[in-house]
Amino acid sequence: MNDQAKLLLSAYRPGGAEATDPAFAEALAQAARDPQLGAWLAESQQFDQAIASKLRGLAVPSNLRATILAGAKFSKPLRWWQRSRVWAMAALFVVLASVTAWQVSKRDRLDAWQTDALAVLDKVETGALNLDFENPQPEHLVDWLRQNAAPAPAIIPPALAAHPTFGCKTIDSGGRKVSLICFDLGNEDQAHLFTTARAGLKVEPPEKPPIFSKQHHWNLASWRSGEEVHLLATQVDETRLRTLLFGSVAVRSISAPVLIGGLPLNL
Amino acid sequence: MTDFEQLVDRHYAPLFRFAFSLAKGASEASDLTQQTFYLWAAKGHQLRDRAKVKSWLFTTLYREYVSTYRHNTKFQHVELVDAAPDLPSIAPSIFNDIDGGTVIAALSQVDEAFRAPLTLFYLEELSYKEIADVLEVPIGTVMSRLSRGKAQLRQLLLDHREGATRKIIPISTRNSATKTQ
Repeated sequence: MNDQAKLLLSAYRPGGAEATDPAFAEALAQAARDPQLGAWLAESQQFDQAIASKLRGLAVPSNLRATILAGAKFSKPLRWWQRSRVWAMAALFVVLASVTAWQVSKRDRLDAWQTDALAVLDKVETGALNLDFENPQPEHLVDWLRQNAAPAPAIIPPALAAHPTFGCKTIDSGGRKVSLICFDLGNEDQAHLFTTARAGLKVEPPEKPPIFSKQHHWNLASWRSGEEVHLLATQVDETRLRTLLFGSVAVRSISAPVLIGGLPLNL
Repeated sequence: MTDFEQLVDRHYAPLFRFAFSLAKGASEASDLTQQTFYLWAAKGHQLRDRAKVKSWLFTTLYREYVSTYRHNTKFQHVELVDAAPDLPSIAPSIFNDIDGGTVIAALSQVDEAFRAPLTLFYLEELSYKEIADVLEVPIGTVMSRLSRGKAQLRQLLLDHREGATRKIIPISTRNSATKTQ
């Protein structure tokens, strides 16, 4: 009889949600009548209070709140195709079938590091991965990347650099170092600039004009700048993507040679 | 302050502590907590009963833990008994002498099946009925696991106090009067 009462009273917290729960009334009454059970309950509650107090004292990382709020601001709601693995698999099948059937041009194929970079970006967007360092000023992110021996863009297109940043991340793609800087374009739009060293790449984009392509939900632009290769990924349309690269100047034809304006970030 | 910020302020600390007890690391616990709020930002509008926000958050965090850190073990077999185990005796005077780090370390060594309900119980955020909902187990199972979890925790704290290094044998394997849940 006492065993059953003890089992029930193990879930009882005086002053807690169970305080007025009639399910415990009989067991409590039994403890009041039975000195042995009453002593057990008193000692048990003393133990519970001590443990609860210690658990509430577990320190929470000081930056967690800010990280949560920044993450929620950074992240967007799941797209329809992300809501179901079945749909995601179906979408993947369609994409793979399309790739096979249409033999996409070499121009639109991604290099391995670009594929890895976009995979990481998808995880960052869904919150599965965090940025390594957060700061709204791109020059601080560049400094941080340099301090961590990661590829840091020497030049960022001025129209892009004019936007605040969320943060940056370093990525390892089969031994190749890639850096990511995430820009806040406003109205929940974002742009993500990847940078890696030109050395060792089998395929590299031209310095001008950039190569524009589309992969899944990403509009992409890739170009070379000195000894660096960049990939800019965004979900805004291609017209706006071009304005990010070419600044406030009139958008020009892709076939026309266009110099990308540069903002030295060596501040 | 936005509604979301208020929600975060109210719940992020206990959610982190629950995640910490599950994942046993601050980094993983932070990720789980952040992911939980991300999912709230993305899907929370689907919750019609706003009184269940707290349960939703704890449930979501637990599911994220199961899917991310504990593949294929959600339905692990656990032997339980109806009767409460005898609790190892600890003098009440030493309860408050136990430092927080020791308690957290001991809690992390409790069998996982018992640790989740035990942590939720001690966080005092949810009723035992809500704990059952979060863990998706019957109320009776919550009570059994609380009882057995407390016994394990006491034993671990006793071992620590005695400086013993022997590994605690799960109660479920020590008790002869077991039955399948």
